[in-house]
Amino acid sequence: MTTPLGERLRGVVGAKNVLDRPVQLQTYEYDAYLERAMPRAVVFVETTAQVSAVLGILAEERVPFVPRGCGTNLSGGSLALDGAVVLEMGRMNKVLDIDIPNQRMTVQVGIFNLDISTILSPLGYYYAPDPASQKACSLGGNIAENAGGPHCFKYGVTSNHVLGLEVVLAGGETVWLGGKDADVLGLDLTGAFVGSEGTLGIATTAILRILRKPEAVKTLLAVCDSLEDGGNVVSAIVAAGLVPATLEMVDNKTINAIEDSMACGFPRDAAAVLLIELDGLRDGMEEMAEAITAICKASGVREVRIAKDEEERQALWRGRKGAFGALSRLAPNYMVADGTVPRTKLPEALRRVADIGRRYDLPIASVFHAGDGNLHPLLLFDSRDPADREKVMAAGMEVLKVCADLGGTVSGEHGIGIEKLDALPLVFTDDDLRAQGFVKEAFDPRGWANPGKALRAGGHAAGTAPADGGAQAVAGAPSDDHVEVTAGV
Amino acid sequence: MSSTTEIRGLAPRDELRPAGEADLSDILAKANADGDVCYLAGGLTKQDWGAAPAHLDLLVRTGALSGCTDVDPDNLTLSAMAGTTVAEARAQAEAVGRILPIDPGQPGEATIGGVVAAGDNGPRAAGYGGLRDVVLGVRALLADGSAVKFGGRTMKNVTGYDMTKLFVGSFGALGAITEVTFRLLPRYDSQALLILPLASLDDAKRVTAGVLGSYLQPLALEVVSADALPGGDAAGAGPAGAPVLLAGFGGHRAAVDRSVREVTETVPGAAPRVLHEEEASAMYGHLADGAAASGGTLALRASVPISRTIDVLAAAQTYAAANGLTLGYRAGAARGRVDLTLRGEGTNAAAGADGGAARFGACPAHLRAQAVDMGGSLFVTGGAALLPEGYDAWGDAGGAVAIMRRIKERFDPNGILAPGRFVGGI
Repeated sequence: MTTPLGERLRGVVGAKNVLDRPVQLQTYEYDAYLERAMPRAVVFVETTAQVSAVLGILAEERVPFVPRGCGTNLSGGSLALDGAVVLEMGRMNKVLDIDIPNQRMTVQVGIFNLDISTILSPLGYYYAPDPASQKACSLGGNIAENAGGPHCFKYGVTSNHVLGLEVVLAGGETVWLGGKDADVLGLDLTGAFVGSEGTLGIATTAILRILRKPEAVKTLLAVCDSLEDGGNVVSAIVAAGLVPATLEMVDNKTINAIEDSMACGFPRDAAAVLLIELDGLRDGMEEMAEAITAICKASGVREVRIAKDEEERQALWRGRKGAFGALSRLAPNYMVADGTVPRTKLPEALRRVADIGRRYDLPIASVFHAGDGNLHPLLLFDSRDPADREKVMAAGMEVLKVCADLGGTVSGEHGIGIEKLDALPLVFTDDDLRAQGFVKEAFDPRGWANPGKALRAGGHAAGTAPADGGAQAVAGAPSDDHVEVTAGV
Repeated sequence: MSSTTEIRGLAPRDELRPAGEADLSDILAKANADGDVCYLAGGLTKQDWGAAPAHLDLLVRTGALSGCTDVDPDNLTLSAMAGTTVAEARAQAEAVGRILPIDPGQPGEATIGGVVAAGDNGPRAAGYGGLRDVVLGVRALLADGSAVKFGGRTMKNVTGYDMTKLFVGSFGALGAITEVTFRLLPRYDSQALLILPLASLDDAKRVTAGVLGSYLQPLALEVVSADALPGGDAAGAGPAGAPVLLAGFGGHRAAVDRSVREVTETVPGAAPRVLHEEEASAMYGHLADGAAASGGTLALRASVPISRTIDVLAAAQTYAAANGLTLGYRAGAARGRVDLTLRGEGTNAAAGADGGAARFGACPAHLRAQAVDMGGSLFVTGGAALLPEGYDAWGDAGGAVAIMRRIKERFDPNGILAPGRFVGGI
């Protein structure tokens, strides 16, 4: 059975490109977070003009929307709340322009993150942000979440590498933010859009900064007998004036899960390993590797291995990037607490996270971006057990509180989504959140774009109801803009 | 009371110097209630940039909001109050063996708040990244005096919208910045700055394209007119009017040495000079400062995709030659930032009236059209007196300007934060 809305959408994208039967919609009911929500319809779009036409219709029909890439979101950001229509962006995956002299690439946002660098590789270039899920996540999702990755320590996050965006606003207006030049005229709207979790509009095309592949790369694996030793190495490397491209740490539980699933060469008896990569000109690299080895030894590191060839290097990275997947061997579910602390507070944060695990009797495996102070303790549990689920939610919130207390923040790279709405008051006052609401209102005054995410509509005063998918109007919007939710339409 | 400082010919009713953040908050809250237009100012080094405010009641000086509030060498962060001079913050970072990776002009007067608000990226932004990349957090007061903070002391932060990006380069349109947290860099093992006279702009285009396409990672890659160098260095330049390349590198000594060697080899027969360490730092300072402002000089800043940097210089050279003006320039070829100065031979401000209108008046729009064609933009950074009434200081920001206006309306509903000063009249 189809609906008038479905018919209108089919008129834009063709009969086969709209899903609106419950059985079809079930695939789009979830992302990599723990909740579920049924979208009203899913529309496959291929061009910016189609996105514009679809958003125009949705505005007339007073229906909210959610752009969706590959659904790898860990905070529920791609769930369709309030009976929203999902715009499936995966077919917008074309490369529009590779501009080597300007070190820019223009692509549609449905492209896989890893494909960008694969396409650039023969030209001697790459795109720096490399989230661990890069094989399975799209650029659009990276933009929505301001994704990070191991190489952030030296090269920065997605927002440092996205310089222009073609954006379709709620209602269908298309506008370009930023461009190919580094210093754009006026307010940095590109910067504000990246990381806005789809709540300001839908980016369809992006202009990326691309970098020359380094002449030389050297990857070291420091095998540590304690997490503290690893933390000390990170501090000592920074103090010595060295800027490795990555400083990644993996704990013992994760090492063993990785080795069980793919045998990457991590020593099973190590308390932790630290993956250190240097890149740049080959001149001086040998000496820098020696200096790092000496620092490691002085910090009590048991052993330092240097990847002898590209194959060994790739194996180490395969292990690191496959860590989350490997951990699914240990428990049916995990929750990643993506808090970030000033890197000097890392050892204390790790101690307190371990305490939380003991108190709640929850196994915790840790993988983290040590150079950035970005923790990823994975709280292992079984979501079929309601008591377990409740416990993990409470423990996760305590981890975020620890991060906030240590001068850090509650999300380093996975976003707020619906998961961390309740954690926002840990780091923001009502005034801070009100100012963020100004930006939302300027882009999306009626609150049609990805409702219920990132920022709670109507303010964040203590005691507000949790995001439950209920219809909510954005502060300042007329009340008749409430969305009627009709499940299944 | 003694007379107040004028801003672009506008005399404020009063000049206020808040003692601290609370005081500044009270001033804003009252101004917001009374509808008094405030102009926030640090060292007043950027007041000629962009458009003049439409109206002015209160000049608010941030000098007393001064000092570094947190310097954490191991975390590689530094937080400083808005009124702290760049030189002071830089010294604090250097005292703990770190680099504050910002590079604006007039660091002795320019303040942290002013530099961040103006988005002034200098020569070393090629290697440091721009202010949008190195500012990790901002605290600010909104128009109604309420205090807000965004970002923080961590490299990664996706908690809430990235509001720090909106405040960087916002020219005070959204609020009064009170404190900024920067990412720091470890000190370089070694640094060198190569100075290489070139034969022509064509040569500059060839050499810079070669560096940009290579494995080298320049800290700065400036193409400047000889008059942009301190007196002694200008003597060593090539033919009159020919450009000089300054290529800076920092890092491991072996990598720096190779970088300098490789660039030098692209210009056979040139007479290179290489500055090291403090000498190099001093030269960067000179480059960032630019020529001392004088009444008869029109100053412009363009931003274009990097491969077009030298094309902007060529366009400016053509315009200058056709209009009997002398061109000076400093162009960051690895960032696409171009600073131009144009002056009439032997003229001063008095040459304004007719001659000025004819020779200077059309210049911003003419060169802007070319920068826009190249995919960039251009704004006026000095010499407003030489331009006709109603000139456009910023240019058109396209469809995005409607969103910028709506943001401004939300943040500053009563229009007390120097409306008219920024792009699109906001």
